[in-house]
Amino acid sequence: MNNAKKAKTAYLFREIGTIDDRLLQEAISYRPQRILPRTLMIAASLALTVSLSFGAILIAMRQGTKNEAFDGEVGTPIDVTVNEFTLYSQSVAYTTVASAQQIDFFGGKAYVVWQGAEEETLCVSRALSESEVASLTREIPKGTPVGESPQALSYRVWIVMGDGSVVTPHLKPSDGNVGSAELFDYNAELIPSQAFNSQISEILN
Amino acid sequence: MEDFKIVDLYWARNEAAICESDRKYGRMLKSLSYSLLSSHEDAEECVNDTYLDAWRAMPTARPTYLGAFLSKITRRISVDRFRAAHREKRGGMNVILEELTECIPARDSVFEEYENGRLTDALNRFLYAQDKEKRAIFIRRYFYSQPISEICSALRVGEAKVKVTLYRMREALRKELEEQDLL
Repeated sequence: MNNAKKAKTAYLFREIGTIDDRLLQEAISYRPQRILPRTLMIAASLALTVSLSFGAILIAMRQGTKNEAFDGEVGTPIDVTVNEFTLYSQSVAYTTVASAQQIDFFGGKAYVVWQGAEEETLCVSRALSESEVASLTREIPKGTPVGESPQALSYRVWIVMGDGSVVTPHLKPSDGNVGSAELFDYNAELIPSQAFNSQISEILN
Repeated sequence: MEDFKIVDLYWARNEAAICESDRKYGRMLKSLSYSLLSSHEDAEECVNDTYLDAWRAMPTARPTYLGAFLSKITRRISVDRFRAAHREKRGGMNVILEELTECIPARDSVFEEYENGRLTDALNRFLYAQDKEKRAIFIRRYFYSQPISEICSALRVGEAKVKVTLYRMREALRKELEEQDLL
């Protein structure tokens, strides 16, 4: 690069530093809208139905009377991913962020945040109303315990409360299970209640 | 805390303004500075200087977009520091500058254009004429100096798309600047 061109490039770089604040704000907050094609929506709905039925059968098997034919299946992990599957297949009303740093933990607004185990991107719901937060947190203790050993998850879900605290529907509510301005790692102790799942579906659709 | 509340704290000369700014934008600013300077220590200092500058600029200024306002300060301070240190090593700002060279027309022209704001106006017009995704890619790369991989992750697009978009936008900007007799 010759000196004149180098100097001009430096000027251009400097001038980019003065572009409109509105553009800068938009660039950092812009999230592409994710709209599923109609066929994909139908496939997702079908897959959801199958998944829910399968989950219900597994839960029934675990809770029901002992059946000799299913002795080997008693220890099978419960399908704790049903709720997260719902999150991914049905939702259109969410945005994504590259890292937890972009989530406003103290902004006074609550969000549902979820992430696939192998994913880096985080999905964030719209801001929740106070009544939605209250009813979701009311439902957390009503989740079904997964049993002796915590379950590994394919997706993790958190509720960012807006005051710095973070909880998850997969852990029993206690002081030790509340995060502070972080999306903590965890293994599931609870399967979220059906009412919780329904509320999440409503929020995301 | 919402931006306007933090700005109110600055205007009230309340030092909590700096804590709240750091809590909300500290990581983003540090990342911006680090991407230019490639030094955590220098980035940390630039971010601290940013808050000092913001403290001095307010109450005169009342920014609507505090994040953008602080980012501009951080970028300016980081660029100044880079120039002062005159690092010639590969990486950081040098990579961004090399890419932007493609926007510079081959011929010579007057440098005064930069001073009277024509270039800034041209840049703003150029960016407003693009769709949101394209300008987000361009600004993330050339204002916030984000790595391509980070842009891909944030905007959920592939690396090839980001690279092609940037290439085409650099070409379009060069033509635009040539037509307007800028640079």
